[in-house]
Amino acid sequence: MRLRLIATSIAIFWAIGAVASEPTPVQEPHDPASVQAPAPPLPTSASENTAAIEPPVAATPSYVIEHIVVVGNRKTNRRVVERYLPFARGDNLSPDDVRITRARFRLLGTGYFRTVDLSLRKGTRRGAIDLVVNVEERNTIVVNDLWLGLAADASSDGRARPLAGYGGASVSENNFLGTGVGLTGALALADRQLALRARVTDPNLFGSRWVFEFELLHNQARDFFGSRDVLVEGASSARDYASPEYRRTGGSISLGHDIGTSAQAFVGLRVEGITADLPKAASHVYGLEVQPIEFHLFRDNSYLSVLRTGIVYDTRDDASLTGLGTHILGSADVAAGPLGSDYVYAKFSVRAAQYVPLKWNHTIKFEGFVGAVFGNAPLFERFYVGDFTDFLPDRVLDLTFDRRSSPNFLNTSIVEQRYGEYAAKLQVEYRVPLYRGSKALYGADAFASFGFFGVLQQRDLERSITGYNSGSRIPIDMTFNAGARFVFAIGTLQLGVSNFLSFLPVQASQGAAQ
Amino acid sequence: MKCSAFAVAIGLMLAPLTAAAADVLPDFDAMGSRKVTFVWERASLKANFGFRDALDAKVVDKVTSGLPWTVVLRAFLIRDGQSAPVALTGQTCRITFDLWDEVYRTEVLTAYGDRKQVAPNLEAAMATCTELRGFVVAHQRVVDHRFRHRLAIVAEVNPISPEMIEQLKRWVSRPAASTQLRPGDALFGSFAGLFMRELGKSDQTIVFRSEARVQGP
Repeated sequence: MRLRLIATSIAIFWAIGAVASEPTPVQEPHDPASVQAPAPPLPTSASENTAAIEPPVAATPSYVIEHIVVVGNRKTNRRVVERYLPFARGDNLSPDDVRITRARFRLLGTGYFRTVDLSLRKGTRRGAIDLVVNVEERNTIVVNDLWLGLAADASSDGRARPLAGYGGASVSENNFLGTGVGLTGALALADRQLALRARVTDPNLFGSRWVFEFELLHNQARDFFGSRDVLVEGASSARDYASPEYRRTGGSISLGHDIGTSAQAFVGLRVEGITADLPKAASHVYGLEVQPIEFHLFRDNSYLSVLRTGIVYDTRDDASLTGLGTHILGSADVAAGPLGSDYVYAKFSVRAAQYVPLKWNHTIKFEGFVGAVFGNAPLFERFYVGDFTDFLPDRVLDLTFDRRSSPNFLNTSIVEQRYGEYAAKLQVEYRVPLYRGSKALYGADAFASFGFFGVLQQRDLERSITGYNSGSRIPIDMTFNAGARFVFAIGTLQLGVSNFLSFLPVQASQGAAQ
Repeated sequence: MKCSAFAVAIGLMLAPLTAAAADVLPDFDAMGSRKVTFVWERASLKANFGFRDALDAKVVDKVTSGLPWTVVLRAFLIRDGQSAPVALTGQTCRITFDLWDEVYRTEVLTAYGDRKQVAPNLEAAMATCTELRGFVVAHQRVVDHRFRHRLAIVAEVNPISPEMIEQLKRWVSRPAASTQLRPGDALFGSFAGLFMRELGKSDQTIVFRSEARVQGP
């Protein structure tokens, strides 16, 4: 492996998801070990001080619900609370009905409330009761993501720049005006790049169990193309990269529904207009050959209309500090002429993760991804190498921030790849719990991950890339990371060494073909 | 129907114990000790003990709310020098305040039969659940008369079944609030679900061991 020293700066990549509210204390659990109560009075017979009325003894009482009373909801509409109650006025109710407990936790699971207590009180006639739901609301404004990072990009004239910053945030109000409807806004910024998202989510469409979402999107984006010896028509001077700019404006609607207790399925339609400012012609050296650069966008105006279906299967014990379980995301996209799309393609992808607990309380996570695109997909729907390696920033709201190629630890043609029609990744992550708590810091894990991935273009299947030997033609690379993950009451903070290493002066050359 | 559902629930709660009792028994040496008296009756070892400290203001609120208050008790008989119990027995006691009759209905479920009573006040109802007399601990054939044994008690107030906890995890990890298909989209769910970390497996757990030791008959 040929390595070249590149002087760069050190960067800190900080991915944090934060909530602007405190966690939801529900009960005051008692640590079994800490309950060392003083010696009780001498046991006495229950029968001595129980004026027990021996048989006949009625079973658990049964009541009729006269009213459902919601107390403490200053912002949340009463009907939003009632949605989660499997009872209605006039229903029979037994105090030991398991649905009472379930409804309490279902309400807590919405995230709208800090505490939820259910109780019964006498109604106006014998046998009738009021079901009282006492809630304490919580702040539902959530910072979903906060992106801050450094990347290496290119200037407007295509010259490589060593360092550039990017950032962004995604914020949600998950109980807008107390209606239970969620509003999300997201923004990402980089040099001459902007991405905006606005999303409305109704988790119970018309009181049903369907999730409905409507999203608007706008991107002013650019990208960085070219391996070596880039030539762009109309450019007055040589450049390192072709950096076309494009705009996307559109929206999507989608519906989701639970399938059993562990899965959810989605279907949606996204329509957008794309305006791309592309050079009339551009070329670079790909392998050992001069080839035209494919930007995977139509020049000037084009339309994309894509139908998406997806499924999530999730049995993880905890979404933040997972100890065991399975998490699978699968999706299938189809864009076709009858849908009004200029881009005609199909895209399939599956991401699966299995968390295996070890006897000594550590966890191993096995993760795999496989995806394929058939047809003429726009570049932002293709598989981007930065999404697979830990050494480049992931895309944020479909913006790419970094011009660099994969580090190419295995000296393969991966260094020539930026977008591909096929991608696969296998990764193993070892997690060591460092701390578990229930106050400000909920947990801390050390982790180390290692994996391999590949990103392949269809054209390389049709005609082998030149300048590479048989094995090195396979565009694969390895990736690794190590660091710590902290889950605070205000969010998750992850620190990894790969982001530092990507800016240290150790980086692969431009491939064997150079 | 209700009784059978209740019995199933109790069975579910106790089933893991019989499978791996040692796993759920807290550190025996770390337990506080309380007065427990033993008596051999015929071939059975019986114990008398109490844990009235389970009764506090919250319990009063809970019981008078009309919803059930439940104590699941497990008693482990442990031979001196060993950590695994030689016998395990359990009892579930539930108090429900009848809002219209204004009495406390108690229901005690044990391996030796069920008992239903009506108590006129909370004190009396609590005594049924927290003051145990003649509680059958073990049969003599499992108690080696050459060794001394002690009793460890674990009493959980309003325990949540593992099945319910599992279901909760599903709800909070996927709060049905997004159709986005990205690994990070469970974030709101994950933070809405942070209360799971503060949620114990019960409202209160009382653990103690017997001061006295008992030998076989």
